[in-house]
Order: sequence, then structure tokens, then C-alpha cells
Amino acid sequence: MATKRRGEDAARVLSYGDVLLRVQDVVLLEGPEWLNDQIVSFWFEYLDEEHVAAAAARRGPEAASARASILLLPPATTFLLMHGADMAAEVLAPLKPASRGLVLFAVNDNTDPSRAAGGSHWSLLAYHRPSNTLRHYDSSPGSGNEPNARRLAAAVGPALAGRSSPAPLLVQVGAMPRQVNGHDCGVYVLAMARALCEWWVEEAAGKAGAAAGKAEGEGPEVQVVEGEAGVEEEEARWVAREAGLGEWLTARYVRLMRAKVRELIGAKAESRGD
Amino acid sequence: MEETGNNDPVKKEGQGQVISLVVKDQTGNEVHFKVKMKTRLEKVFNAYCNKKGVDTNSVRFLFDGTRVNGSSTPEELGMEDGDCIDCVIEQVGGC
Repeated sequence: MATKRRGEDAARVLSYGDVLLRVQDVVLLEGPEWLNDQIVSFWFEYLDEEHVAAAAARRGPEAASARASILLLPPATTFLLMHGADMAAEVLAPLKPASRGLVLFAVNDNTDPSRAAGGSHWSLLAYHRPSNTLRHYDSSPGSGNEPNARRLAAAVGPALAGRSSPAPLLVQVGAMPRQVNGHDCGVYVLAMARALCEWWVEEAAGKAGAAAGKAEGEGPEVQVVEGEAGVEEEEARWVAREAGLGEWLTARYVRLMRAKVRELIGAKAESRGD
Repeated sequence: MEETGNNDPVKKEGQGQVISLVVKDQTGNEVHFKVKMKTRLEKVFNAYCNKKGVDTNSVRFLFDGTRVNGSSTPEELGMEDGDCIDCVIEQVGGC
């Protein structure tokens, strides 16, 4: 009986990119369960493969390059970076960190690399190159993920910023909405990751549009700051977007999102006949 | 087809080149494997988990910082002799 149930839990649901989802992973989305790294990995892969690509395509060829400048690191890689700080540069190197403008890390609070299925909290750390900041989006700031984010930031900061820039500043994003229960932090990470990718594509499209306007000399209403926009201005625009988070990233949104991700996996599994 | 001559160079070539891979966990322990270029890495992962006595679903494998799907082969991933695969444990979180 026990073996049979284990067999069912381990049944394959969907093989997507580098992620193989099993029944035991997908059921986590059904109830008020904690999410594991498999679900987060799937979502990051999906965002990169489909969501961002589609968003960029909608906004024209200028935004297409925005996709290549986003790097979504699966939680397993992040965990490796966090607990092997000395080799962070080496692990990141093949992923071309210097060519990325937005790098997302799902941070887990497990501090013991020998304990499987450890951890109790997820948060999202994002490197935003235009402002050279590492921004921590934590739906439960009291849960103690701040030291973990700090640790990760110290490990990856220098490799991300490159030799020419100072190590990025770690910013705790105060506008991040708080979770209202004890099980949704993972979903906040999924929602936030999608939002950041969309913002990035929008910003890229906006800049490309402004640059094109300047090139064609279309009217004085197109204002382009000489050279690159200032760091403060870039950060201010990002902060303005963050300030609006409370308006849409609500408990209800998160609850619906959990169901939507579940449906997405189901639809993909069905269409592939797995 | 019942040949047992392992030293036959023609047959050896037909089986594909053999490389050695290292699977390294986060405590720094290493396990070495000899693998054919066309072998699905799943087999390496299963062997590793058996040796370590861990559930295959509780660990993830990374090559050059990217997750490795067990259905891919060293050839597909461009692995070379002596390459290292990192092994990372499962993580969960909710509150």
C-alpha cells in the first residue's frame, strides 16, 4: 500500500525544459501547501521560454533583446551560490551575468545544505542593473530571510556588477505586500517574478521607442537625457512601479494565481499527452 | 552478435566515447562516474542516489549552473572528461 502510494506520487506529470514535475510537486498547488523548488523552477522556465518571449514579441523587435537580458536562476542554482560563496563567480560565469540587466533569484531560508526538503520561507531577490541594486521582495519580512538575502547578495554581487561597478547595494523593498497566511510566500515569489519580467520588457520597449524617436528627430516632445539615463532616474522609475504593488498583488490575486499555475501545468501536460 | 571481445577497437568506438564525470554535493563530497557520451544522465543520478541513500526526488543536479534533466546525455550537454555536476537538495517554503 505504502509503496503503491509512493509510486503514484512519483508519477510524472510534465517534463518541461530542465524540469520534471511529478504528482507530488503539482499537488502542492492544489491546497494551502508550501511550494517546493520544483514548482518555482518550472515557473521560471515558463516565464523565460514563453511568457517573456510573448510579452517582448507583442512590443515589437526593440523589446526582443530584453528577453536575452533577463536571467531567471532556478532555486537549486541559487542555493548552490548561497552555500558556496567562494565559487559564485565560477558558477555564474557560463550564464553570462555581465550581459544580463535583470537577474532573479528565489531565496530559501534553509541554512543547512545537507538537509533535504529543508526551509520554510521563499522570497525573491532581483538584480537591477540600471540602478546597480539587489532588491529583496519578501512577503513576510519578519520571517528571517533577510540574512539569507544578504548572504546571497554578498556572494553574487561582485560577479553581477562586474569589475567596473561597485558591489550592488541591497535594498529591502518596503512596498512589497505582505502575505496574510502561512503558506503563500512561494506564490508571491511566482507573481513577483512575472511582474518584474514584464516591467523589464516594458522599460526596454519604452527606451527603444524614445531612442527611435530621437534618431528620427520626431518633435521636441520626445525627451531623451544625454547618453544613458541617470542611475537615480532609472531607480526612481522602478521604485514607482514597486509603489503600485499593493494595488494589485493582493491576497485574492495570489489565491487565483495558485490555481492558474496549477491549470497551466495541467493544460501543458494534457497537450503533450504525458 | 555474442561477441565478448571488449578490446575490439571498432566495437568500442561504436559504443561511444567514455568520459569520467564527478558529482559533487554541497558539503564537498565527490562521487566519480565513468559514462558513455550517449548514456542518459538519469542513470548517473540514480546510481548516485543509490550510493548516497537519498531519494532521487529530493535532489537536483546542476551543470554550469543550469539544471540538468535526466533525459539528456553528456553528448547533448557538451560535457567533457572530468566535468563536474553539482548536486543540490530540495527546498520548500510557505510562511
